[in-house]
Amino acid sequence: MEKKKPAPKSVRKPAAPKIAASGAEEKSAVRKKTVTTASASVKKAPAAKSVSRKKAEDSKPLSPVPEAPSTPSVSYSQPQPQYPSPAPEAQPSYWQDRYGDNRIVLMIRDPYWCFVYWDLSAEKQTEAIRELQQAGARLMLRVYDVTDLEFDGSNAHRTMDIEVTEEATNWYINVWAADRAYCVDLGLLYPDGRFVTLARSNVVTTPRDSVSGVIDEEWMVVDETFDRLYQAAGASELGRASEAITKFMLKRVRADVSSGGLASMGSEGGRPRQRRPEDFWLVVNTELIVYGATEPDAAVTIQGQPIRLNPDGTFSVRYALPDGKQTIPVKAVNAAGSQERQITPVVEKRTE
Amino acid sequence: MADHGYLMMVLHAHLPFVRHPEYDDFLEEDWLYEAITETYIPLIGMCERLAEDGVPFRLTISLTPTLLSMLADPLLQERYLSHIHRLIELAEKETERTRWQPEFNGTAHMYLNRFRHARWLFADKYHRNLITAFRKFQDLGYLEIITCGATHGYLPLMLNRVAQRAQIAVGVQTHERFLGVKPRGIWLAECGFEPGVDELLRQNGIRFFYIDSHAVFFGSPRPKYGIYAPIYTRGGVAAFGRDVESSKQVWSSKEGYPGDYQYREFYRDIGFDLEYEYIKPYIHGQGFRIPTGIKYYRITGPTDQKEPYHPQAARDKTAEHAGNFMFNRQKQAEFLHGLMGKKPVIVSPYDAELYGHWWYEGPEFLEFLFRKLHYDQNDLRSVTAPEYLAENPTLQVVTPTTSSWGYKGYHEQWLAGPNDWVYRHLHKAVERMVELADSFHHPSYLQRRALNQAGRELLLAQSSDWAFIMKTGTMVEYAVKRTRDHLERFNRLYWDLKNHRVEVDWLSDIEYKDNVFPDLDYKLYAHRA
Repeated sequence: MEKKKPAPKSVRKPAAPKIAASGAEEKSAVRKKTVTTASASVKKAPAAKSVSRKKAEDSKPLSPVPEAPSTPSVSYSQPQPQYPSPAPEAQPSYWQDRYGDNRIVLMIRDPYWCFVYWDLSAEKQTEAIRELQQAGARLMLRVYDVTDLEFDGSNAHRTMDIEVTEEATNWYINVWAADRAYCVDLGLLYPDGRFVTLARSNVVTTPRDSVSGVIDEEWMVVDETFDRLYQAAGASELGRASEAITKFMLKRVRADVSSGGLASMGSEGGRPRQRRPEDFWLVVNTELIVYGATEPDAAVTIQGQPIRLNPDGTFSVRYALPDGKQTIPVKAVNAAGSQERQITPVVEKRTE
Repeated sequence: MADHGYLMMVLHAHLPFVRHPEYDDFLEEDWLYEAITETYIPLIGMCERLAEDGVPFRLTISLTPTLLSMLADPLLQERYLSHIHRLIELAEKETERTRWQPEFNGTAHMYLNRFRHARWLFADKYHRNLITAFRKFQDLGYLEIITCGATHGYLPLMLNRVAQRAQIAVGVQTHERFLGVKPRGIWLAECGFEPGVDELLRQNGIRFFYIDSHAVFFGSPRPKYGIYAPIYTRGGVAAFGRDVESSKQVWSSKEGYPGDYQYREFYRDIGFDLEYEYIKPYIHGQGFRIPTGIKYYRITGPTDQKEPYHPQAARDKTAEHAGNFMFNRQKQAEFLHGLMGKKPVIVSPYDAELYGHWWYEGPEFLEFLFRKLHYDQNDLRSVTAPEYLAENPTLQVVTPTTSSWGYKGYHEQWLAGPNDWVYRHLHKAVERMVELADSFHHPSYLQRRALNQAGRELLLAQSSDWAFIMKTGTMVEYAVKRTRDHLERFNRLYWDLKNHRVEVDWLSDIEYKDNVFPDLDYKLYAHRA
């Protein structure tokens, strides 16, 4: 039976190209800036990872029906060495890196960041490459603020352009504000200022990040009560109303009270904490094995405790051996109870 | 003493569907076995004792559809039994081996007793099916068991109501199959909510769910009572907000109870500490060291020099912490009652596996808490959501904000560099599933099987656990493999169905491996009004 091997140290990357996540550290800095200036800055995709893949492979829409399946692609075989599949089920590969749809999809990450991924049809891909190479066009994401709008392509409250590399297939976008609706075009920007849309995304609304200004008529909230309720939720330093509450809540959700989730189940979590390399260390323990043999039907005790014999009359017991002197009487009585033998090893352990 | 408020303790019990009949020994299946021994059985034991003593406790627990499916699976039940037998054998050896070490010997006997009790409760008392136990305490009125999305899919990132609806509908269906009643409440995976999900909940007969505190605080219009009274969403479903203060007391790795120096140290396990040849039969079949569950040290302090664990000292501390927790909730409720002019409800949700697996003494803490609530005070009453709603039928209507209880409160844990690549494929699979459901009106027997299996593979690929693991960085390969395997199986089913060439042997093989949700109907994915 095949078994799983221990996970190797290097973690294999999934086949899909990855755009760098914006790290938590960088992000908060960027966020502060954009919130006050209302201009959006963009996390640059690390070209390296995307570029390392062959472009043709990336963009070529797979044959929709894998009639004559080719040998499994590199991407498919990646997880295999760790979890060899006993069944031939996995041949051939039905994995597709890209689908050749002409599509761009916008997702929310939090009140200030969105994520967008796209996939161009073969036709659009060819068009884009031609225009990029021959007409001096640039590949752009155009972000629209379409809050409360019937968006027609030209009536956005605001727009911003983000130039993306030809190889990129996704991007993180630092948007203007929470609780606003956004839409993104992938398109070509020409030197004369023309913008030609290749694909338009869905519309998403970023979550609120502050206390609502809307106070229901029927459920009028007395401000003082309201503030004190939030204080009761743990915000003792609150001086003023919603602004401070908002700040407190945001701090709270970023603090260490989120779900441990599955991480708490991970068996690998049971490994001792890592030591720093300079903390050289040594542990020495001793154990004592007391073993022997007698008639298989005899009754044997060690230090008065009965022990179990193997079918051939042998026995073996193991003890952690602390410092000190141990007197270990081993006594055997035959099945009839008519004869007994006793041997008493004495062991002394010292640590110097 | 007066009646000042309600306390709602909520445990979210979940594990992703991990079942590999194709391997003899599969590391990730241990998640289930460890959780059974350390969390589920101790919780059941607690219910037994409280019920026997007539303590009218109320505990809300979500048993996710994947967890229910695994608990009811004969192969996994069989494997758990051999797992616990091995543990008992090891504990027996340990009681001998530590005979000259009184500081460990008592703890070794504690493990032996607990493992034997676990085996007895699992095999003899409940005939290998722990769902029977949960169901019993549900029927007695102590447990309010709620459901979850079919595979713990993270709803806000699906961008598709049909996909969200299927998660919820299959969750409800599975719950009813195992527990005999429709769930009244749901735990949304990771508290992941976006406006509109509540409408789907209502359509599936769900009356209440849980969200994180900022989802309520930032809701609109401004919620009059904050998180201390539930709200009705526009969809007419009650939403209970998580209490910040009580969460922190248990969750926080710095200030929380589980970090107390008397409590058992999670990281010192004999699987790593003992001599290799001795421990080898009890670690992974391939011979690499893994935790066994036998741990002899207490947290001790910020040091590597750990002191021996003393079960009785830990137990005393547990009682003290339960008293402290209750005292703080009493004060909180009294204060809030005065402020609100009505009784607050304090909602304290936790991952169930925190209790017992991480925080070894956690189940004892809960038991002490419920006993103290019953015997020692009258300020607070433990309550379930349906009981609360029966007594407080009128709620403010508020739309909570999109949110989660994960890192930073929104979607970042599940949408970041290490895992963002999955959504392109998950969204495509949903689109294809809808296409299949819309195009096969009268499938053949074999086609129907393939269509239903496609639904299962899609659901399994959607488990939020995979993205979560990719982000946390341990066991990443497994999470990547699971995502790809299910998507590949799905895609093959898709193409085979489109080309009218479903291969029965292969289909039977994946039906056997991914045998979850046997009653799933692919038509769930059909477009309809």
